[in-house]
Order: sequence, then C-alpha cells, then structure tokens
Amino acid sequence: MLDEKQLIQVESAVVLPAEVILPDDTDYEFILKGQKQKAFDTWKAFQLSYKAEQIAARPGFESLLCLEHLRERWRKAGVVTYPHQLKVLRRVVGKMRGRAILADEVGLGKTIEAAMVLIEYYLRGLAKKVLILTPASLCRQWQMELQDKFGLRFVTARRPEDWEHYDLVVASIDAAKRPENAEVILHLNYDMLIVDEAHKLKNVNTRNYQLVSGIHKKYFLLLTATPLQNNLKELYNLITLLRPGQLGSYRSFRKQFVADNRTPRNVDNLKQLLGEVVIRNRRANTQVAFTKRIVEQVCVELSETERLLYRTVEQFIRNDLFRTGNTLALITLQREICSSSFAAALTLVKMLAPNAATALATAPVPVPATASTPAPTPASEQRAQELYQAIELAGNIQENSKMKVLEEIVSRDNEKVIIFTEFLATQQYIMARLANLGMKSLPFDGSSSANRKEWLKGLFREHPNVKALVCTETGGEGINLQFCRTLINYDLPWNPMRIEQRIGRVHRLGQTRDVRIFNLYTKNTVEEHIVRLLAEKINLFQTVVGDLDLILDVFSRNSLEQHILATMRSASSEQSEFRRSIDAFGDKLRQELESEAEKRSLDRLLFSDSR
Amino acid sequence: MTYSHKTLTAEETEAFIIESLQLSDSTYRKIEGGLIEAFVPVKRPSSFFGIEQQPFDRLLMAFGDDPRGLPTEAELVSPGSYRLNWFIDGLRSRGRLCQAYVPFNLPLSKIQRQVRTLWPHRHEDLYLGRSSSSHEFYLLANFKSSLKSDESKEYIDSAAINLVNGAIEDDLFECLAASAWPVKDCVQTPAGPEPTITVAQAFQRLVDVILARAEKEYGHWRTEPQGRFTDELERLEAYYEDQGPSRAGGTYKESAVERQHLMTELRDKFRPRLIIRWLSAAFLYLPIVQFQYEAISAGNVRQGQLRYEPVTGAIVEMV
Repeated sequence: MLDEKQLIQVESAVVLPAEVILPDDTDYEFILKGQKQKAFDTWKAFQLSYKAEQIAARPGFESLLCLEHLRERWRKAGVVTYPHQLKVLRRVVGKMRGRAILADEVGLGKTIEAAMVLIEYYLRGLAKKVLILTPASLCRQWQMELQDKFGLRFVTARRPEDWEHYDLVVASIDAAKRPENAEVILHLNYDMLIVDEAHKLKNVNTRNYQLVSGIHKKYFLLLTATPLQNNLKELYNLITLLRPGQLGSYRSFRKQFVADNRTPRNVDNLKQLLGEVVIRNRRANTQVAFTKRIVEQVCVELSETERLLYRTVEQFIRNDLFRTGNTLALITLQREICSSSFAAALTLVKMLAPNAATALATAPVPVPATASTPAPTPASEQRAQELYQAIELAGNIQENSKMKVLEEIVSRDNEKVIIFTEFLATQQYIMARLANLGMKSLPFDGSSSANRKEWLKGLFREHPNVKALVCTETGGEGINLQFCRTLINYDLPWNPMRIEQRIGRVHRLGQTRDVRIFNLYTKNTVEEHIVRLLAEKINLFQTVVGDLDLILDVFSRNSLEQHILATMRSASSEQSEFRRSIDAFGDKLRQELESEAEKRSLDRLLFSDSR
Repeated sequence: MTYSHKTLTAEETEAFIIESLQLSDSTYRKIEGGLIEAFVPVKRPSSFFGIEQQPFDRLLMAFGDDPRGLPTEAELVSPGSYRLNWFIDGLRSRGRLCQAYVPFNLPLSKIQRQVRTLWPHRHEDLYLGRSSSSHEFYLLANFKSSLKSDESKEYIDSAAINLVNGAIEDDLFECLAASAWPVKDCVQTPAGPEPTITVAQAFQRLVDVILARAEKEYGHWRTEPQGRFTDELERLEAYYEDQGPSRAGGTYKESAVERQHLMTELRDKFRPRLIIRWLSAAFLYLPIVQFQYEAISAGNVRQGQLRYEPVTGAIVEMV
C-alpha cells in the first residue's frame, strides 16, 4: 500500500513520444484493384484533384483560416469584425497556445472572439469535441450565434448520454454539474472548453470551479467582462484555473504580489504575468464606435375611464396583498395594468374564475358575463366585488390612450419599427390596431420556433410593406435586428437587464445608424416612477454599453419588483409617497454604483495596458 | 517536391472553378459583371411522392475582393469559402487513380541534337550510334502530410518510382507539367520492359521517401512542441512543489491525482504527430531512348551506352 507522499511521485515523462501514422495497406490495395479493373480516371482529373488538395492544405497559424472561411457567410449575415477581435484571435492561437481569459469590456464581442478561436482550431481538426458552459439563460444565444454566424450546429446537452453522443455541446453549468452529468463529463476528453461568465469561477471550493478544473481539455477559454472585482485571491483562483502555476503557488503569489487582499504590489511584474493569459480590450482602446442612443420618454395621459380602472386595480392589489399574499400574480397584474387594459382584464377574469379566462383569452375585450361566483365568505365576497368592478371598467374601455400615441409615433416616417411588450394580449391588441391603420406587422413571441423566427425576421427585413415587428420578451431573445433602428417600449420591464436585452437587439456591434428608443409610460402610475428612476437616477438609457454591466450588477442585488411591492404594502395610495419611496431606492442604487465603480479601479490598474 | 497551402488570387480561383466545371461536364457561362452562372449536377434523394426534381443546381458565382454591387443570389467564391470547398470536396472523388503515357515521336536526328545539348561533358565530342526506344513504367503518388501538436500544418507531397529499375524521381510531377511533351490518357499500355518491383513494394518505398523528406524539411515539428511542453511541465512541477496538497485544500493523494490529470492534458496537447495520407496515384509510361555512344576528348575514346529520359531531360551513362 502506497502512502500519500509516495503517491505524489506522479509519472512525469519529460520526452514526448512522437507519433507517426503512415498510409495503411488498404491504400495500395485500392491502387492494385483499380489497376486490375482498369478503373482509371483521366490525367486531367488527376492533376485537378492534386491542385484541389494543394488549395485545401491548411497552413500553419501564420495564416488564419477562419477569416477566409467565414467571409461569405459574414457578408450575407452582415457581420463586421473589428481589428481588436482579429488581434485577439492571433494572440490566442499564437502566443497563448489556445488558453486565455478573454476579458474585453461588455459590448466588444467576446463571444465572436471566442467563436473565431474555436473555428480556427475546428477547421484545422484540432478541436473536434467542444464543450461550452454558460449560464442557462445564455445557452440558446450561444447556440444561435454559432449557427448563424459560424455555421456550427451545437446541441444543448441535458441528459447524461448527450455529452458523449454529441461532439459540439453547449450546456448550462448548472446542468453540467449535476452528479449524473458531471460523472460522464469528467471521463471525456474535450479538445476545447469555453466557459462564459467565468467570473463565477473564482472560488475554488465551489462545485462549478471543481467541475471546470476537472474537465480534461487541451484548449481552454474563459470569458468574463469582470476578471477582477477587488479581490486578488479570486483573481489568483481564476488564473490558476486556466493555467496552474502561472502565478506560482498561492503562498508565493501572496508573498510577491499581495499587500492586502485589495492592494497589489510589484504591479508591473504582476501585470506582465497577467498579460500572458488575459486579454482585456477597453472601448477606449478599440476602433469600436457605438452609434448613439436617442431616447425619448413619451408620457401618456390616461383617459378618465382608464385612470379609474388603474386606481381600482391598484387598490385591489393593495388589498389583495394583505388578503392572499400572492405576490407573483399581483406583480403581474400591476405590470399588466401599466401595459394595457386588455392584458389586465385577462388576469382579472382569471383571478375571479380561472376557467373563464381561457375562454376569454381570444376575445378582444373580456367581459365576465359567465364567470362563476366565488364562495360567499365576507372577505372573498369583498374581493369578488372589487374584481367585478375592475372587470366591468376594463370591459368599457375600447381603446387605450397609449395606443393612440403609438400610432402617432409609428406613422411619423417610413422607418420600420420594433415594438416590445411584455404581454401577449397587448401584442394582439397592438397588431389589430396597426392592421386597422393599414400597417402590416408581424408577431414575434416565445411560441415561435427558431426556424419560424428566422423566417419572420427575413420577412420583416426584406418586405417593404411590413412596418412593425411586435415582440414579447421571450420572442426577442437572442435575435439580432440591427438592420432596424427604431425601438418602442410599449411597456417597460421592471428589470433593467431585460430592458437592455431589448435595446441590445438593435443597438449592438454592426448597427450603423443612431438608434431611436421610445419609452411609453402613463402619467401618475408606477410606470412614471420607474421611468424616472431608470432614466434620471440611473441614466440607464444613455449609459455607454461597456458601463452597463455595473448597473446590471447593482440591480441584480436590488430587486426593483420587490421594492415596488414593499412600497405598495406600506405606503398609502398617494402617488407622492410612492414617488418618494422610489426616489430613495434610486439614491441607494446611485450610491452603490459609485462605490462599485471605485472598487473596479483595481481592474484598471492591473489590466490597463493589455497588449 | 512538397507544397504548402496555396492561396489563390481571384483569377486563379475563377480558373480553378472553370476547370472543375469542365471536368464535371457542367453547363456554365460567363455573364455580365464577371460572374459565372453554372448548372451543376447534384444528387437528389427520391422524394416520397416521386415528384420530379431538377437534377442540377444553379450557381451564380462571383470572384474578387469587393462584394459590393453583387446580385443578392450571387455568392462570392474565394479561398476558404463554402463554395470553393464544395468543389474541392467534389474533386476528391475524382482523379484518385489514372494511367497515362507520354508520346514521344521525334525524328532521330532531333533526338540526337537534344542529347548532345544535354551531354554534361562539354569538352568531349559525342558520337551517337545505335539507338532503341521504349516506354518505362512508373508509379507516381501524391500524399498529404499533416503535422499536428498544439498547432497544425499540412502540405502536399509527391514522389515517383521507376518500376523497372527502382529509381526514385523526386520531381516527376513538376517535370511532366513543364515538359514539352503532353501527357495522354491510355487504355492500351505502350510496349516496354517488364517491371521488377511490385506495386506494394513501390508504394512502401514512396512512403519511406515522403517520411524522410518530412523529417528533413520539417524536423522542427518534433522539437518545437517538445520545447513548449517542457516549459509548461516545469511551470506545473514548480507549482506543485511549492503548493503542496491540491488547491481545494485536499490531501496528498488528491494533489497527485490532480497533477497527473494536468500532465496528461499537457501531453495530449503537445504530443507531436505526423500523419501521412495517400491521396492519388498514376501509372505512367514514360519514353526512354538508349544510345550506343563514343566520346572523344584529346585523343581518348570512351565507349558506352547512355539513357535519355526526354521528360526529365536526364542523361544517364550506363555501366
């Protein structure tokens, strides 16, 4: 039995045995057989096939293959590459030998860079089995980018057999670390592993870190916009995951480079070592010029009936928060009433009688004539009364004031527009009204398959008579529409990440014109406060793309939805009180943003001159 | 003779496509704007309802660097593009084996003049006597050599062997391309001496030639990855020497397992490999003319027999 110290004497042969693979017997057997059967082709064909092989022979890394290979595809897809991306590609496959942390600031195209590296190795037959690990929400986006822009069909793995069966796999890191999957993955040999959002791999004791560390791989890319968030130990862990020993042992790293966990010493040496494995491009150092975002906040005055409906529904939500505590449904209702009376009406009917809602879902205006009455307890009677009242009010509304404003914006010029709403009922209402005006529009929602979405996208782009694409949140996910430059937020999500995802559909690399964003909000409603918060306090809409990660990071720790609910629970129905509460929330966010920006100064110190 | 990757100009690409179209008997024409419209035969799987489908695809191909102003249905054919690779893939099913000869029918006086011009001993007067001509049997084979480690490179290599006397011809393919004598396909083989080497032996000799060339010209494919591997290994070993148990605070055993795992990764990544793959072969019948000769210089007379190979321009004095 070996003791532990003996076991550490691992096999470490320093000479690599070269392998030579020569043609086998079947080759000359083919020649013999051909000779016997006189199965000869012409000399001309012989010469031309030789020439073809000469053309197809892959050169060394001094000539990159992927650019030529993708040229025609990118021409048709409208993909533009930037000099900094080509430099990244050359550096990763050249000096870095396929192991790197790609840490460009947000919006500079890290995904494209990683995919170019991948395809360079793929075309040379050096990367056949590839695994991409991402957060679950980004799997589809990766899959589509790789298919559309690079012609690579990746499969999303979920079951244990998928990992072995498919060579090109994209998966969520959460799915990969499930014991039944991890067991398979750790026994496979991957040529290339790419991990997106790699800043989540900074703690060696997490299962994520241990999984990624244990995967057998030759080429390895870690993608993160925030390689360093003020903690040198975390940075050490990330670098060591990529290339163990790059910064020495932790003991020597601490001795050489750490004054305290937030302050480095021997900065120049450390920068040099980091520069060997990390590439960080900043917008200021690249030729990427994002076009402007021209944002217009469009205030909509509610009609008398709409205002009454809004107040009734808002009061119902306040009451119901105490009665049922069903916060999810009530938040949805609050967002719906800001979107359209039709979206809210459906939920109101559903709350009253779940079965009736299905029948009414397709009706233009829901009227609860056949709704069954709830059990006659005093509280539920009161609730039913409130619901009846709201439904009746909603039923009397034939058109929404917001829609009139939308019609006016859409009719201003001949530009195609993308209209976003969170709700299907609103989407249908918008499309019906545009059709009344003689404007063709196309629906884009989560129920469409990827193929159908592509077809719709093509139709929208090419067909001169199609004026608008009306998208729901899930419909717009991962689809790039930079050929269009006008975006209308018919309603606003309460999560800035989702707002940014909407804007990102049109305002991204490749957009050549300034982007116009119209945010429609109704006066004296919660929407007005949210717009004020996002536009004035946080300056979300005007923020340059690269700084958005800061905002989104802060928002990920402070849920706006939860704050609104808490306010509704505690505050009176006075709008002024609501406004004060949201303002206070905004101030808190502002402070966090400033402190976060200060923290990131360390990042600038260590990565400022990334070569 | 070895050839690395060949990058084509737009004109060369166009010429290559036209040659490929001609070889496949496809209909094509040049149209306005420098485009080529071609109808290429394609295999279509029979459809369930047996609806007749066109047995060809229409291609509209453009060449050059500037794609502006191209019709929407046109595709740019450039090195590395899908369409060029499509043609290359198609050509891989052609030309794998051929049989050809070089006709050689010059009057004797002209042949003698050529031999005198090529005679290497310029100070001698050469008198050519009785001659005989025949065709000798050669095997020419093309190979692809791939060098792989953490990087890769491919090149195409070619060599030939005389199946009668076993002589290796390094540059026969190039000589044939440059020769004034065109190569012709043949069904009936021209008369000549019987081969003394089997195809299997010849093939093995050619593989040995290709391997020796690879070692000579690309010996660094073995040493360079070894150097990179050694660097990585030293870094890793230093790390573990200093680090002790695994990063996750594990035991010596876990540390050893982790270290072994990383070393295997390094070995897999940097291990140099040379893969030689056969691509195509040609049985060639090349003309040989043999002369009795007398060479006189300063009263000295040498007699003997020489062999003239018109395709390579070689004159060999035979013992």
